Amino acid sequence: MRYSIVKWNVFLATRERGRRVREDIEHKLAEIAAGATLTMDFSGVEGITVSFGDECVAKLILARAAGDYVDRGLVVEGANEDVHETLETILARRKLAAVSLTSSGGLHVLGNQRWLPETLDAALELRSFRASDLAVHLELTPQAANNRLRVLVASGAVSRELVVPEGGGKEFSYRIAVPAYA
Amino acid sequence: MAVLKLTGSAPLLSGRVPVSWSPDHIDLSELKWATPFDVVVLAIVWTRLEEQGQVPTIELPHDPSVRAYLVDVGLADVIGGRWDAHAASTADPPLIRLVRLASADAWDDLQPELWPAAHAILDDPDLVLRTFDILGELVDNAATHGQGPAGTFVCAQRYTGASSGLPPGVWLGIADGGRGIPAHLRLNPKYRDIERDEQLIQLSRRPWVTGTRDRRGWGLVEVFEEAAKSGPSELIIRSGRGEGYFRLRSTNRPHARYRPLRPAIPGAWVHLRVEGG
Repeated sequence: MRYSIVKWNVFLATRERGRRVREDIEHKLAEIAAGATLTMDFSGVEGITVSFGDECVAKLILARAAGDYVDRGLVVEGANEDVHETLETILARRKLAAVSLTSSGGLHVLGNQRWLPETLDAALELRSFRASDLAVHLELTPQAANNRLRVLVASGAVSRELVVPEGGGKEFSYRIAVPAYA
Repeated sequence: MAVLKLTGSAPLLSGRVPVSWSPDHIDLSELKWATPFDVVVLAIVWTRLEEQGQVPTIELPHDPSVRAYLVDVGLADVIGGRWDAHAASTADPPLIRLVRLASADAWDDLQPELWPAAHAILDDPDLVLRTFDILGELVDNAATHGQGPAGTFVCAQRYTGASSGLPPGVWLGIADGGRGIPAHLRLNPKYRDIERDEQLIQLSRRPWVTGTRDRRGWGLVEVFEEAAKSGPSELIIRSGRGEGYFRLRSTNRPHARYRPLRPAIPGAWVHLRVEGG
């Protein structure tokens, strides 16, 4: 599902507006099926303030970090240089990350960088996987793989679903959620 | 009888402080030039009193061109009186005509109208973006600590300096009639015991400093960063019993000066001038 931000305005200013847009996006996220992805399309938006971006995008990512809507994807697309820079700033301040689709079809991690680009690349190769697969792929301990996956799931680039393995118990299954890569 | 008498150029901005912000009479007869800060402060002072049912009497500017400008900028829509502006204003049309906002969201609702108008007046798209970034953050702050029946007033003007004699640039004024920055920060137990209002204004510039329960507090940080990026800038914040005065440059630390104010400002009043445009 594509969610066009510009329908709210070409310039988005206040925290109050950010809250309204976020609540509308949350409503749409609740409507889409598990495994589907919502693309926040910033095409046509000329600028956003830090307060708007924090209230809208950063709080969506924070909610994912708390476990909301993690079984579906959330990505940014169509952000111009100014919007890109603002999102980068607010996410980095909160030590969060999101994934942006560039005009050339590439992926860019916004905000908290560290090992996230490398982990995203690994997830793109694996597409659908378990934490243990990622651990093997990146030669990490299971704990380190889980820590990375927590941030990657919060970013929206990967969705997570609870599965029951054959032997019983519970386990999470991860799937790349970026359109055109999924 | 308490009189608010404004004389000469930019009287409120220059800090000539009256005895009371609840005057029985406002005398503008000798006013020669009003900046956006003067305009928004007059609007909020008048509107607060009107909301309290204590409408002051007013003497309008004797200079017809000053009267004409105050009509053009929208002050005559707020303050009653026989404005009869037959003369033409010598100033350029306002960048943003005086607006009264009941909520922060109302500012977003105005963007489709204000955004193209600003692009038509300012040739520099980056300056438009920075100006609206700054205004967005200031309006957002005003809505956070300034909620009240009088609302928030915003006004902006580009000066070339040719007719005003004032430094050229984009001048912004924002005023609300709410609890003010110091009282807002004291809602946070961390800052409750700080007595001097100017110290709280100083603190408000730091990241994560807020009176809300929410983890936020980047609004003023952004205002300072964006203003400095725009070129040499001047920022004045008056709120409660304190004032912060700042000169900003992208390459230097801000020059800051703080002082106590009497009488207390009923709300938060902000002036910003950025060179350029």
